[in-house]
Amino acid sequence: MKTSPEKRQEIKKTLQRDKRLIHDSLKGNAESFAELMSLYYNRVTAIGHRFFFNAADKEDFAQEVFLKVFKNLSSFRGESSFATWITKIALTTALNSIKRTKDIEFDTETMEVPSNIYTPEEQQIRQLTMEAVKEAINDLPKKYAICLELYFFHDLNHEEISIITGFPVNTIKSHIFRAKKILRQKLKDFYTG
Amino acid sequence: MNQYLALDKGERLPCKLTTHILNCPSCRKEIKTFAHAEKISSEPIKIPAQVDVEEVRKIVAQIDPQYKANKPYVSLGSWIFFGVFLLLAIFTFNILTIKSRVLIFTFYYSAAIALVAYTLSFFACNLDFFIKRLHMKTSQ
Repeated sequence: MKTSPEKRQEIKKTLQRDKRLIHDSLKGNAESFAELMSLYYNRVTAIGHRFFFNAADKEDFAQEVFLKVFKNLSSFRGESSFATWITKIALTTALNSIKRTKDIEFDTETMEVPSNIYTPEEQQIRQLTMEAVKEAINDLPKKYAICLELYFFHDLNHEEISIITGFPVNTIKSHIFRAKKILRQKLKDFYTG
Repeated sequence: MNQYLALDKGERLPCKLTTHILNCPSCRKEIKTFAHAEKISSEPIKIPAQVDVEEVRKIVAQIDPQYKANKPYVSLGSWIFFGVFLLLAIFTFNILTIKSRVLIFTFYYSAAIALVAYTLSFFACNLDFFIKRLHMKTSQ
């Protein structure tokens, strides 16, 4: 995959920042680990919202994930991005916790979003994206639902999703493509009325 | 448009597609809208959350007791010892000084420099401690 120069620059910056924070955390700097937590907290809680339905469970889940992250921080080799690594830990933790992977329902209502970050139009667009993803998921085996969520709501690319879920890149790509087509139609309808 | 939809996140647009987009306003508009929709969908996870460092320290200390050793803390003992030593040195030197104007001037001059250096280094070494104190007072 040929990445655009802007994206490459962004990845490089993120990687450097994360490497520095990990290095300092491993040296015992709690501030650096707190910064790392702060940067990835919403990513972890978004997975929590997907699998758990009460606040206490969500909180316990986030704490468990960050404990695992801290315990395994020294094993992070930087072969994938830190976002991929932490999402994989979060997903494995969630799946192990609930042990009912086949019964997971996609529930957009559980995804908490701060209301002040979007304009009314953006809120509608995000709603359309959720609907498109939900629609695409309905026609898929449930185990693939997470791929679409990771792509649209966690800003992960095909390869990163494949690392996290273990599904082949081409399978992921085709499911995402279908969801994108639905979203395209929804956006078209939205703007043409 | 399908060619665009098949692209991955952050993937560079193929030349052929770029040329088409430049010449086709409707595709250009559609791609812009689509890219915006994709961008805003993942925005919430990119917002840094408020994390309490003390809480993190407590959690981490539960699984790694060694971590406590790395906690930066103000070792007041050595500072107090050095401060008292400095004052005693000034006092003793003052008693023992011969009543010479040059010596008295040199003495007070060096004592002032030593005190300023001591105070500055104390603040510089424990800046983190003072910032936190200040932050706690303002947030109360």
